[in-house]
Amino acid sequence: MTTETGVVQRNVESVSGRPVAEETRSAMQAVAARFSRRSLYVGALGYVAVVAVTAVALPEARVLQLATALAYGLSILGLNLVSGYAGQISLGHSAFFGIGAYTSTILVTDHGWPLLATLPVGAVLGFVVGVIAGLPALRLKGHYLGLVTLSFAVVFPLIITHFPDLTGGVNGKLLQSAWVIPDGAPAFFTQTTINYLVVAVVTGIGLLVCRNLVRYGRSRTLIAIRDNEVAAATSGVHLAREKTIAFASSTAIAAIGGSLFAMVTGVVGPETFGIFLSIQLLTGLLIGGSGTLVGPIIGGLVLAFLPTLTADVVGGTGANMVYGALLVLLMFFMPLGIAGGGRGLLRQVSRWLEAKGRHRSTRRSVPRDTVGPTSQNPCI
Amino acid sequence: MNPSTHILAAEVSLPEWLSTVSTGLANGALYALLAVALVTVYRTTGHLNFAQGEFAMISAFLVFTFVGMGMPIWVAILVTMVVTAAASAALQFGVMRPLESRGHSASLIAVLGMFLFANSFAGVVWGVDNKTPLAPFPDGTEDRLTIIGGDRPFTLSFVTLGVWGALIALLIVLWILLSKTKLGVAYRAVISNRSSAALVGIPVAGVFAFGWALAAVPGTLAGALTSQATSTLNFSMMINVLIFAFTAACVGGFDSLVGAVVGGLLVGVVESVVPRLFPAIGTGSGLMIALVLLLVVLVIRPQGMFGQKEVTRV
Amino acid sequence: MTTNESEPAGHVEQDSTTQPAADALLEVASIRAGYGPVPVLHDVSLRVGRGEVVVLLGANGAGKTTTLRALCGVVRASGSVRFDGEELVGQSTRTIARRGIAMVPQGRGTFKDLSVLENLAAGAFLRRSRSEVAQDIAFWLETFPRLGERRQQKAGTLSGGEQQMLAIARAMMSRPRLLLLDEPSLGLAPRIVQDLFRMLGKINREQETSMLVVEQSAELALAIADRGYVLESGNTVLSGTAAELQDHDGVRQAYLGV
Repeated sequence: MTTETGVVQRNVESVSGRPVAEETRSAMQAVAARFSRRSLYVGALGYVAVVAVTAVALPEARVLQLATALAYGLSILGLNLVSGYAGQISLGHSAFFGIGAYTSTILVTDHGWPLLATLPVGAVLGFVVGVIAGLPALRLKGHYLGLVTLSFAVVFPLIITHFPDLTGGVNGKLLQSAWVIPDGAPAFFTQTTINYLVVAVVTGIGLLVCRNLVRYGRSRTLIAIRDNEVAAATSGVHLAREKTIAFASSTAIAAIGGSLFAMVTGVVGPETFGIFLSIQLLTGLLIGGSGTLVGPIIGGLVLAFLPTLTADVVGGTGANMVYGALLVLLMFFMPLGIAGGGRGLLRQVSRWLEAKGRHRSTRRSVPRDTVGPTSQNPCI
Repeated sequence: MNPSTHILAAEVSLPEWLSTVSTGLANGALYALLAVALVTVYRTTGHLNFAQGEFAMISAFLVFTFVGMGMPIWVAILVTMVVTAAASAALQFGVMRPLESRGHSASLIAVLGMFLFANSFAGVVWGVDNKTPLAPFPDGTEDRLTIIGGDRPFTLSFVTLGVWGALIALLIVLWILLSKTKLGVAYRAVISNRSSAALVGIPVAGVFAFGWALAAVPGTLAGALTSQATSTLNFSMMINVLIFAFTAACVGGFDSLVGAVVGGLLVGVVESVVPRLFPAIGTGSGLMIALVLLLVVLVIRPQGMFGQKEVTRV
Repeated sequence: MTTNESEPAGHVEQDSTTQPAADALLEVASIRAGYGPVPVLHDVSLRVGRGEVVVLLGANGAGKTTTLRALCGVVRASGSVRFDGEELVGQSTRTIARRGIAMVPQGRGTFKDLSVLENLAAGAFLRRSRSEVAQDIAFWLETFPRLGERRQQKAGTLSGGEQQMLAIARAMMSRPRLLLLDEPSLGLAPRIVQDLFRMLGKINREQETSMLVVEQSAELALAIADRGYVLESGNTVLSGTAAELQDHDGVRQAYLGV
């Protein structure tokens, strides 16, 4: 009898008459499947609950910050696709964040589009530019890719200031749109609240989409690419196409995040979307834990809330000192980030459960039905 | 980069062309200095030091502080070189070396962390406003060398001459160090063949730290001279220069010092000349021109003009 | 005479001209070594006496290169490596080089971007007296006239044979007492290999440098060697004088192409 991993095992019979190995394994799978379906429901419910409670209970300023956090989080989720799974460090995602932000702003303010309709436009634009930008860049090795993507981040503010009539140039541009608040709505139900809910919904959808990507194949391809390109290529993975699609998808998601960001903050300016944001997005990803779903959200929260925390200590500009120090320290002590560490714990537990089963399994990894990739390395 | 030297005349005469080219070469020398630093680090330990520009910026602030304490400026520059060299060596030994085992990305991320930290640190310590720019060379209005006189004169400022002089002096010192001294030969041996170098007893780890320390010399010069050339001294002054320097290093070939210099000068000249040839592009688009150049080089000839190592993957 | 338990499994009869253990320059006792969790050497023991040329034979993957690397401190080993009475296990490559062991690595390992002269100078890195170093450089350029002709050329432009000579000269620049050579004949034409081994024999006699030579095809190596060992899957399985090994059927078939 051959298990899924291709290892041949002897048939040891259990009390029920079925081979122990099989019984244990299918029990594990059933548990895992129930666990993962359950984790989906629990996660979704938890998400909805947290969003609802915070929307009601928190003061408007905090709600604004949370909305910003989720917008960042969505973009970091996109970055995760390329850096966390496919293992290619992109330092240019701020540019795509900006593409989404400016697209929405221009369409809404100058052409009166409804805001939600601008999201797909930003996404498509982000995707297309991602394909064009990605094609030459993805041929390059690690640090050179970082260099080229860095140049995207540098170029974007320049392009913005180069076309001031369209973009408002150095002065920035306002995103003027307002939701219609029904009469009789409670006092806490402000524009900010609606913005927050919109962001939460879109981000939630993004989480679901990424989760399915993780579970059903595409990310497996990406992980294969990350772990060993040559092997992946020889096993039939069409490298250039897969890498480009991954990159362009991630930039599209980042663009959506940018549109939401513009909606929440109401204003865009070229300096917001430069190198520093790119590095900060990467920092958020690493702190939260790349290669996970929760990690990017944690990262977004860090990005939104850390500056307020540091403002008292080192002033606004000092936030980067903390990010910088964190980045270096993370590489030493917590390369998996917060969520990565948590998942590692989860894996320890399930391995312990497996060992408790009467049959000693030769499998080294958790059954593939759980959330998240099974590989340890963050961006490498 | 220095706005007062960009002349947007409709018709362009010889002195004006010379002026454009010499401005390009002057800016190019600054890019070359920083590119030499980048290439030195790359050749030594294989890292792209994204934080090199910020190190140069901090060097400039250190010079500023020392001058404020009463040191003559060139003494301040030399002292800063020593301090920055020691700090760079410490960084390589304490941060980059332990991270080698964790893979390329870890090193890259650490370097980005240093970038953020250094930038923000300068803003916190020295403030975000512009300080008095450094003045290593005399820069009064009369401090120029007249090459062509008359109504359409072509002059070279002492600053320009000084920048070129500094670059040449640096290259001479580097050449002597690397080819005539035991340390230099040991350094080049490590670059050439790490394991053989270990076998003959060369302390490889020490050489790595030395390579990073060495990069601080052109880095400090780049910072101090950029401050004068651009009449600025603030914590964001080197960010654009870094991009130009990276472009220069890529154009020249990242593992070639000669390439860094030639690349730097080339990028500077291109930056200056292109808006002159195509006025529609407008001044201030130097960075975009450089980035176009970067992408073109990486697509057409990724190893640059003089480079040898592989840059593309499968 | 040798009563240590680490006597190799198959032991060809000791010749009475073999040096007593007490005089051995290098005494390797039951070393284990590997790369990370994978052990390559399981139990390797050998001895090199003063002024001896010892050959280490074995097939690909037997662990010959790993043995040399372990002796240099490049690969971590456990067990005992005594060099002139001092324990080398756990020491750094630099320290080991200081003690007087030099290695000519597989594939020459020359500094390709440095000139011939600079290669030789690098070999003398640990030495202090510049005049003596200069003398040695002149000596080796004379001993290997082809190197003398190309002294300013970058090592990477030299032919395989010339690079091998350069690698040997570079190693000799540190005036080592023991020279380790990893497959010096690899990739070289037979006539050049003959010259090479003649040179090695000459160096052994004139400089009194002991040598431990790793080779896969062993005919020429055994011709200049005093003794040899055979390595198989990380274990020393056979030892004896060069003559004994040359006569041994198993050795003849496996390594002498007979």
